[in-house]
Amino acid sequence: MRQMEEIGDTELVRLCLNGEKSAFDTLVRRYQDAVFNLAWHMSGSREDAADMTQVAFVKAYQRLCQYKTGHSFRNWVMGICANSTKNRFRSVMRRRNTEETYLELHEYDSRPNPRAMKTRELLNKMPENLRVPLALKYMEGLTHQEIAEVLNISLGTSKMRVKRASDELRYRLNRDESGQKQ
Amino acid sequence: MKKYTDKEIGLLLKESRVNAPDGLRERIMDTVSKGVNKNIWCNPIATIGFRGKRWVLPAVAAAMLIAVFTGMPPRKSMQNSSSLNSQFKFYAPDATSVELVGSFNQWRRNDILLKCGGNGFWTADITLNEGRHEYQFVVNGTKWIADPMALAFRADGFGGQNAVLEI
Repeated sequence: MRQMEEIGDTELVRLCLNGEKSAFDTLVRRYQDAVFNLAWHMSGSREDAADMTQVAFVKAYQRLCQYKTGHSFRNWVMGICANSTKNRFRSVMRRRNTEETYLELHEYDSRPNPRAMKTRELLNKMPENLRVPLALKYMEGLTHQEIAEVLNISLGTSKMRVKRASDELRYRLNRDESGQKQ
Repeated sequence: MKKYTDKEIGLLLKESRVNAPDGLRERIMDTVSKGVNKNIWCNPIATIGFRGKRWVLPAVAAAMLIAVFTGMPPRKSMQNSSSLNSQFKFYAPDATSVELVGSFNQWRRNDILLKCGGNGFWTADITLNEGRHEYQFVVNGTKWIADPMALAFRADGFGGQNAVLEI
């Protein structure tokens, strides 16, 4: 019998629908980091990101019949996550300040990397509508079309936001370096 | 001043990716295993749903309150009043027919035929009375299958299992 890890998403979904819960476990294992990373950049809090990742996967499980065969399961769950997180924070307006988030994140960093820590810190100071497309593009490797689908924005908006976010991060990195030298 | 290229920005971001915390997957699976079925009426893929019956829960709660205050056993007081529309759903993309048989129709064959919808799902809406019901799907007229999404199962006396539904 094939290992679950070797099975494609569509087949895993089919197994889930036939009551094979371990197939869903494989999907969670496969995509939890990508979904969590998105939720973290949207919510700005590790705790909220974990909650929203859980919500996204549970909703995905409940809506498995709506999954379109052949489509990317990762992008589908990420879309659910983006939507749920947006709705939740729109109503609750619960955001932590970036400094708190920055400190919180490093508490969990098992392999502290100063460069990565600095990048995260700068990224977190950027507006959410810029940092999320940027994270999806470079951290998750999504195409502009995929970013547009996940975030429910147009292709042009995705391109524009990634470009602006990239320029903004570049500017912040340079400013940070020149500040350190002085 | 260093001029970061798009490639360098990409590499910086890649190494800054955050991973899901330990134990999150277990938490998700635990919720999926226990929590989802408790909210089965909200669950579009659930076998049984109470769609369009938003009054059901308040009505049941009210009936239970009345029963408590009048000293009547809750089950009896609800017995005649609670018949619910239930939707049975079964995924069988390659099937040519799916029928539902169970204790509610005395296991009669060719009685409740599921309709084939999109995405390989077969559905049937029937009204069931309160109580415990056992059932199976019969696929292509020959293969008996206990609903894999059921909350409970019971031996069918023939070496197999019946899916169990409590209303």
